[in-house]
Amino acid sequence: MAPPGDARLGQNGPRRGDRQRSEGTCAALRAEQTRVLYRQLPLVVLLNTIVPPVVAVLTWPQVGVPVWLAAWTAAILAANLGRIVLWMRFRQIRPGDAECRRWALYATIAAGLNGALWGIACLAFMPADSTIDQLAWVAVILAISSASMAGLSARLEVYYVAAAPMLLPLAAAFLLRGDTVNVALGLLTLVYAGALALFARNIHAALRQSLALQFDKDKLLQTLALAQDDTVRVHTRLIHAIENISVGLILFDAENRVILGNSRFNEFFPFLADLNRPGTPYRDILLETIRRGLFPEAQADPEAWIARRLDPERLNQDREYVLGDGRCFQVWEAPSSDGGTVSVWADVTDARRRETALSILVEASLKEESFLESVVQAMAVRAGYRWAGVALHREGGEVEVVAFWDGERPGAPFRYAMAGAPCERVLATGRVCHYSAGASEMFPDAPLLRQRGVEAYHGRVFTDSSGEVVGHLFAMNDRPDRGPQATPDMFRLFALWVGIELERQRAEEAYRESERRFQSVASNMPGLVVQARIAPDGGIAFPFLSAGARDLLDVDPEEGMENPDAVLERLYPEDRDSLVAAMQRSRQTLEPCSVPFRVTRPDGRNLRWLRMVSRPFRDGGGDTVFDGLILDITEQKRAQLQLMQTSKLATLGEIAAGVAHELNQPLNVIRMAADNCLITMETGEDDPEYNREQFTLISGQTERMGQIINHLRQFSRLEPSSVESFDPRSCLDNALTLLRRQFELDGIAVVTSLPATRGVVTGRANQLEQVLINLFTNARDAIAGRAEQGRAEQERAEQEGTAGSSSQAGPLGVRGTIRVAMTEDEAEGLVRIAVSDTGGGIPVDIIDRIFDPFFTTKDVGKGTGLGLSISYSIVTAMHGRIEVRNTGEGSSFLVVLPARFPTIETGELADDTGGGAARAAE
Amino acid sequence: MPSPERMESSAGAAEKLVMVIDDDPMQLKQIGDFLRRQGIRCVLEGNGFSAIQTIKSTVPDIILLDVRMPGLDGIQTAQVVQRMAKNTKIILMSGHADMLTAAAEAGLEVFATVDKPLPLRTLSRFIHEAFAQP
Repeated sequence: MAPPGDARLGQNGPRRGDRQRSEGTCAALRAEQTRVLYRQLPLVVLLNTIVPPVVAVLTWPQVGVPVWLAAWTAAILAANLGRIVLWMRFRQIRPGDAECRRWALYATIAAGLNGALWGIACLAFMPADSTIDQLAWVAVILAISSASMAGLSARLEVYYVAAAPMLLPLAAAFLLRGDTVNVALGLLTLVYAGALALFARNIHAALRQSLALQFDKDKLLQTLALAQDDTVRVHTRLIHAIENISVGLILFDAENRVILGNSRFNEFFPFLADLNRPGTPYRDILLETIRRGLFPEAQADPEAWIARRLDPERLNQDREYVLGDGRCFQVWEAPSSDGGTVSVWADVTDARRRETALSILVEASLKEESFLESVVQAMAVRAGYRWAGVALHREGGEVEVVAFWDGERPGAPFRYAMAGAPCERVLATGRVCHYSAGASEMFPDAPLLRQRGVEAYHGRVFTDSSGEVVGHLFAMNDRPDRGPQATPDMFRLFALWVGIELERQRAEEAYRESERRFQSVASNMPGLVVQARIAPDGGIAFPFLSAGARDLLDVDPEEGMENPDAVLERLYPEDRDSLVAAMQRSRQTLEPCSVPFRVTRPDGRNLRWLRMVSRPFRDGGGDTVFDGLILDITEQKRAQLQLMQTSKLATLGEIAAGVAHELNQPLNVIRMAADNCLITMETGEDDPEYNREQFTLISGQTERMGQIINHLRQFSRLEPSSVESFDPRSCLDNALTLLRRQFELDGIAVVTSLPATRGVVTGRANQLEQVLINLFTNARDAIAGRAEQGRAEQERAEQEGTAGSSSQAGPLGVRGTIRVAMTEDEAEGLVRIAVSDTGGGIPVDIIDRIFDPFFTTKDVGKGTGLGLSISYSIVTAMHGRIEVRNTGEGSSFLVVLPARFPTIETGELADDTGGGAARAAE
Repeated sequence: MPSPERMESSAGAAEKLVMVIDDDPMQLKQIGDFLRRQGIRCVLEGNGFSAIQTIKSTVPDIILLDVRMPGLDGIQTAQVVQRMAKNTKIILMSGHADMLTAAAEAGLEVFATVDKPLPLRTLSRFIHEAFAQP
């Protein structure tokens, strides 16, 4: 390869014959000429110093005034002395290129002065008559001029300045004299001067060229030197790079002998250092590696293996070797330009360990194997150590190794005491502790290290998310570290990881435990734990159903979770609608909902009452989730039904006396009518007309009784009548029918205010009737109770003798009044039925409790305490309300029921009234 | 309320007079029919007030009195009657045994009580016994 300096030289160096020079080069050239000038100056000065005295001596006799000659001689000597001084200064200073200009000027001035003095001498001292003398002067001047030409032509202008004042006055002097000889001499002088000028010019050009050549040569040499320097530097760099490259590099020649091997290769394989020198056959190197056991696969047949290694086929192919000492090398060999081979050895141990560690972890995570076992294996592989473990710090200075990689395979968990073990140091540092060698000697009390002959040890604590140290990781090797370990960083990662993973495992365990508990609770509890989900579009799904689904709904939980319709199908259609409606309502308000509903088997048997209680919340996706419980309330319903029945019977009991009287009256008529007929028959006074009259009477009376009994039966029927729309007025009429006569006998006036109404309410008619009977009998009892009290007071007064004439007549006539008023509010969709009495009202301290079950103020045996409570639940079930207040003279109960007001056009009212009439006729 | 019905029977038993007070006109009629057929003179009254008005002018020997009546009930009527006519014997008729007890508690001296439904022969026996007593 060509050194870079060459290229630079070729491009930038002056070419032969190139006459173009830069300004700088010209200046340097001129400076050099100046230096040549000064170099030759002493000779010129010498000549000019020797000649004048000679001339003066020879001329002395001819000169008229010798003083002038002496003066001239002195002047010219002084001038040349000055030139010598200049020369000496020049030599002393050695002025640079720029300075030389000035020095050239000095030399010019001095030369001009010298020339002028010679010119003056010609004019002043040359005799005009002696041709011989004249010729002598010409000779002298020409000689001086020639010498100057030789000495000063280095700088042409210096020569010109020196010669012109010498030669021109001489020529002028001759020419001015006008005679032939003189003119000839003048011309001769001029010709000579011209010749000298030409010479000077030529000499100057020659000198200048020679100087230029000198210059070029110097520059060339300089550039060459630079180029050489570059080459050396590049070579050094290359060598440096090759030495310091992270791969081992050996160049082989065409005969597979070493040309060059870098020292990195020696670092990798110290035992090959002796072989790694020029001339060693590759084969020898390979043999040595086999002998050292680096290539386990070569042991079987070394020759064949070497042959494969040297086969040109191997070239340009990556090959990876796991060496006998555990290291991993990637070898790449390529042909070089000179027919040899470049062999590159890269240590990829770390990269391979990293990959292996990663693949262990990835595989473990895929196979869901124990994470910690994989981590310890990965840790060992990554660090290139034989053993690795994860240890948790337990109470009492104990350490539990929960996962351990025991060289080749996972080891069993074990415990040991922390005292004397390196982990004590790890914990003391609070972070990390590393020993590159001799760990087992350092900790003779640690059996774990001693048994295994541990050399290198690395331990590092790990923390939970709160930063508290909960354990440590460690890795150990039975070989000292080969060099600085890459482990710290890796261990930091593993520590972080293990800390997080252990915490995650704990959380997961807690979650599983919670899940188990939940599953156990969900499947063992008597109800059905359910999660329902309503999507924004209203679709219902059941993400969770506990095992109770099988018992309560006859639905397999899995099936129900997959197909919500399987669950919904079990519900009574009308109950399904009401359940869905209730859930939709709850979804809007997010209020808990509690809905009873009925389910049945596919065959329609086994009716069951269930109740779903649940609390909705909205999840992130806009769905509404109901976490709820479905309970079997069949028994409760049955009990409730029983209670209803009981309460109805109690209500019947309340009115039994009145009803009995009602029945007794017609019975009495019948009895007497029958007796009368019998008696007339016995006495023979019987009259067919009379008998028919009597029998008609009897028949009519039984009809009256039948009606009463029928109504009672209907009222006390066990099966609840179905929910329907009905006219509340009919209930009021029925209740009054049963009670009005009795109230009359009890001296209670019933005042009704019943304008024509058309509102219909929804519910069970006989239940509303029960409510009204309850209210009426309560009112009656209140009035009777007050009358009783009044009589008792009166009697007391009589006994005390304070009674006046009032006792004469006794309490006659009406004892109290019950007012019944029914109104309807079409705008609000309500029907109001108010039952007020004059019974004195309800004590304020119990007025809030009168709707509580089993609360009664009546004597034992007179009331069950259920009446008002049942009334309350009946009215509430009809989505109405019942209120009580004291009016001053008594209490007033108000039943408010939601009602519809069907228009006549639809015919609904007609139907309903028809239905009501039909019921009344029953 | 039906207006009080008066019926004079063609007297059989020594011109004795029986007053029947009942709020149920059908029962009143049956008892009236029976007594008349027995030849007993009787007055029928539909309520306590009209009966008391009648007794002011005509004192019956026996009063057959229904206990349960609206307005002035049998007990109250009997109390008034006993003050007005001390010799009048009172026979109470009731379908309710409690009412008879109530009568005793109210300090009434009744000749007899008869449960409803009323066997007319029993009633007849009581009336004759009452007639027989001084």
